[in-house]
Amino acid sequence: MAAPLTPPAPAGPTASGAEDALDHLVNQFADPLAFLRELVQNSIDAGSAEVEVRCEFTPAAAPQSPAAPGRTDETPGTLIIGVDDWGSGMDRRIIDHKLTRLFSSDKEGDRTQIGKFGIGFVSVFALRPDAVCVDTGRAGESWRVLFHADRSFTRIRLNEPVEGTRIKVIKAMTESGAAELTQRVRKALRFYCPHVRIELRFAGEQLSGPLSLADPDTDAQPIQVEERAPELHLVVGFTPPGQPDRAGYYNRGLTLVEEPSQLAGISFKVDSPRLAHTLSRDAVIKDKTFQQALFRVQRLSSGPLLAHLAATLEAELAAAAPPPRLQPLQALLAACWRRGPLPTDCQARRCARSAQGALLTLGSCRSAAAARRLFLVEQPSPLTQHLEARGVLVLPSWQAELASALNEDIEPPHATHFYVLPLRAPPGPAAEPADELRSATLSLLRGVGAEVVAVELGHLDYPGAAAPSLPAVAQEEPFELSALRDTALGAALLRRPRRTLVLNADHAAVRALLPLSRDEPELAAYTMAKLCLRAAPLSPELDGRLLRLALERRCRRLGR
Amino acid sequence: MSAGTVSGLPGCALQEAAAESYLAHATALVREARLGAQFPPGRAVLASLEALSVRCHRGLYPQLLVEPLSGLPALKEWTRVRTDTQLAQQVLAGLPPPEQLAERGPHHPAYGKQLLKGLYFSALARKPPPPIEQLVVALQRLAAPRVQVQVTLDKLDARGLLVRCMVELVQGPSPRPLIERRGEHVAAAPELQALLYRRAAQDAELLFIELAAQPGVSVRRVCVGTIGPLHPPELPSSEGLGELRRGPAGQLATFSVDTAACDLTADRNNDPLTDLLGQRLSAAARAEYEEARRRLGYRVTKDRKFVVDGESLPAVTALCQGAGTRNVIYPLPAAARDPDSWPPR
Repeated sequence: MAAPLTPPAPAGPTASGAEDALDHLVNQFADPLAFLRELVQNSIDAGSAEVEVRCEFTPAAAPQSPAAPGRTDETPGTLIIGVDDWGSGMDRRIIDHKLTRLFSSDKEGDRTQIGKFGIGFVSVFALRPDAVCVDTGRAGESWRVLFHADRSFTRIRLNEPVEGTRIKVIKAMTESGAAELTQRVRKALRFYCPHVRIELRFAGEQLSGPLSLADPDTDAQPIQVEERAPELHLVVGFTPPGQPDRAGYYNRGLTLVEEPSQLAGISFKVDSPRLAHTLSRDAVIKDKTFQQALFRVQRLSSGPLLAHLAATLEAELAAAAPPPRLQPLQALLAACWRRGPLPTDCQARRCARSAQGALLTLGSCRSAAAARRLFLVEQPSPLTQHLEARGVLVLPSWQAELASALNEDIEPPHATHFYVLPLRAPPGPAAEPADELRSATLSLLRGVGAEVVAVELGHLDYPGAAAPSLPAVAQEEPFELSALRDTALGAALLRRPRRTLVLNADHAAVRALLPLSRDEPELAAYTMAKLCLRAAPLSPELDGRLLRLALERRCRRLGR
Repeated sequence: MSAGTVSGLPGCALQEAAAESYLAHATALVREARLGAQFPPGRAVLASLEALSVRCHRGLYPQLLVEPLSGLPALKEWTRVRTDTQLAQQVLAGLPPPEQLAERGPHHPAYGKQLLKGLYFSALARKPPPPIEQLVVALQRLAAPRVQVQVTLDKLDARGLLVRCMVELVQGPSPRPLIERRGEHVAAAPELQALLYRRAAQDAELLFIELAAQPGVSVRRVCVGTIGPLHPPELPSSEGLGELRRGPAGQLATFSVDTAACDLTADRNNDPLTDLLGQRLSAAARAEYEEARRRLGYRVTKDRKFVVDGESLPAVTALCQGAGTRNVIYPLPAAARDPDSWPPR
C-alpha cells in the first residue's frame, strides 16, 4: 500500500495542511531542474566520488529506430532522467525516517555536509514527474522506493544488491520535448554543479571541473589568481572580452548564486561551505563570511591579479609571443592603468616590446610618455634603430592601446612624423650623374645665398622611413638622425647656415633629374633647387635669380 | 623475483612488461570498484599507480615491488611516488634547460637519462599525485565546550592494504582531550593520532570501544574501509580468495567496509570473508561486548564488494551465496582485462 510523503509525524499538520506545505516546498524551486543540484548535493553528502546523469527516451509504441516511417518529433513516449551515485546509500531506517520525511535531515548543523533542511529530494517533484524510482542499498539490504505522481510511495525490498543510490525521474512526453529537456538537463548541471569535487558526468561527458573562470566550451585560459584559506576558495580574474562581469558563489562547487560583479572588468568565484543561503537557495546571505570573502576578492583584484597579469605578459614577451597573443594582455593592463595606480612591482615588469625587440618595463614606458619620448611606428627600420640608440622609446603600433593609456589616453605620435633618417646611397652606376647634380645644385644654391655646406644623394624611401615623398632634406649632420622640423627646405634652407642638402634618390623628380644632369647639369640643378626652395614660397625674383645663374653657368660651360 | 616487503614476506618484483601489465590490471580493479568516501581516496591511488607506470617514469625504475598479501604496490613504491613528488621542483631546478635536454638527449646517454628525469619530474610537478596517507580532522559541530569532529586517517597497514579509518566523535571537557581546538580550528592530539595509527586497520568495534573509554569522548561512528587484497593475474595464485581466480587472466579484488555506529538499527554482516567480532569471541568475552554495546548504544555492520573478471565471477558469486551474503560484484569490462587497452577509461 502506498504511503504519503510527509513532514515528521509529531509536528505534522493536518493532511491538507501537509499537502499545502509540500506543494509550497516543491514550488519554491523557481527552476524545475534545480532538483539536479539537490540530488548531486545528496550524492556528495553520501560520500560518492562520482555521479552519472543520463536521459533516455523510449517511444510509447514498439521500439522504432529514429528513421522508422511514422516516427516524428511528436511521437509520444517516456523520458527517464537517471541520476546514479555510488555513495553510502540508504537502509530502511533512512528511507522511512529521512528520505520520505520532510525536515528530518540529520545533516543540519554538520559542517561536513552541504544539505541542511531535509527538503532536497522533494525537489524532484517540481518537474511534475509521472513517477520517481529510487533504488538504493546499504550493507547488504537493498530497496526500491517508487514514488507516484501524487507523491505517495511504495517501498519494495530488492533481491539484487545495490550500491549507492540510483534515481529515475520518469515523465511522459513527446520525443521533441524529451530532446529539448535533455539539453536543458545538461545545461542545468553545468550551471548548478560546475565545480563539484566529484566526477560529475552527463551521458559519459565529464561536466565538473576545478573552480575557474575559464569557459568550459573553449580552450581560452583566463588571467586569474586563486586563494585558498580554511573553508574558503577564491578565484578572481579579468572578465573575458565581450562578456559581462560575473560574481559566482558556490558551496563545495554547487552554485548558490551567480550575479553581476560589482567590480568593473573583474569576475570572481567564491566557494565556501560557510556561505549561507536561503531556504530556496536562490540568494546568498550577506553575512560576515560573505563580507570577508568580498574583502579578499577586492584585495586580490587590486594586487595579486595585477601582478599576475604583468608577470604573464612579461613571460609571453620573453617567449616572443606574436602580437595577437600579447594585445589582449596589454589591453587588460591598459584598462587597469586607466582605473588607478598599479603596484610598484607591476611597474617593474616588462610589458612592452620596442620596435627593435627590446623588452620595456611599464615604468620606463610611462616615464618616456611623460617626457614626450614615447613614439609609435608601423615597423622597425634604421630610423627606429637610431631612435632607440638615443634612448627614445619606439613601440610598434599594435601596442597603441597600452601606449595611449600610459600617455594620458592620447595616442602617442608616430615617430615618422617627427624624425627623419636619410640613408647613404650605395656606390653604383648612379654615382657619376649624382656628382654632376650634386655639384651643380650646390653651386646654384650658394649662388642665391643659401649657406649649404654640401649636397649629397641619399634614400628617404625605405620600409619604415619617415619622409619618403620629400625630394630632399637639409641636415646639420648628413645621414644622421634629425628632427623632421629641423630639416625643412624652402625659406629655412636660405636662412639656416651650414646645412647639408640630402637629395632623395627615391623621389620621382630626382630620379628624372639624375640622367638629365649628365647633359644639362645646370637645368637639372635649377629644377632641383626650385624643388627645394618652392616652399618659400619661391618668389619670382628668386626664381629669376636661379634661372639667370643656371643660364650663365650653362653658357660658360658651353663656351658661349 | 623476491624482495623485502613490509609484511616480511617475499615480495614480487615485477619487471618491465609484467609491471606494466600488473599496473594496468590494478588500475582497472580499483577504478571499477567506484570507491566512495568510506574508502581510501580512489583518485589518489589511481594517480599514484599512474606515477608508477613506465609511461610516467620513462624506465627510470627497472622493477616494481608488489606486496604478496595485499596485491598492491609495496610501501617503498608508494613512498617513492611521494618523495619524488615532493622533490620534483628541486630536481627540475638542478637539470639543464628542457630545450637543451631535448636537443642533446637523443645523442648523448648522459643527457638522455637527464631528459627522461626531466620528463618524469615535470609530469609529477605538473600534476602531483595526491597523498595516499594523511590525517584530516574536520569540524562537524561546535557547541563549546563540546566539539563534534570527523577524523579521517588514510594509511597503508601492516599487510600492505590501503585503509581509511573515519571516526566521528564528540569531545567534551577533559583534562587530556583527544581533540585540540583553537577557535574553529581542530586537530588530533598526539594520543588520538597514536591510537588511530595503531588501531586503524583493526576491527571498527574494537576501536569504537577504545575511543569511547577516553575521558570526555562520546563516539558516534567508526568506519574502516579497505582497498584490497587485489589478485591480478601477474601475481602467483595465493591461498584463500586468490584461489577463486579462473583462467590465465583471472583477477579479482575486494573492498570492505567495517562500521560501528550509533545510528545503525541492527547488526548486519554482509561480508562473506569475515565474522562479526562477537561471533569470534568466547562466551565470557562476548558478554562483555554485549554489555559495551548496550552501554554505548552502537551497532556493527560489515560489508564487502568485489571486482572480478567474467570467468571468475561464478566462483565469487558462489562464495557469497554460500556465506548467505548479498554483495555488490562489479564485473570487469572486457577492455579493462586487456592491458594493451590501458588505461581502460
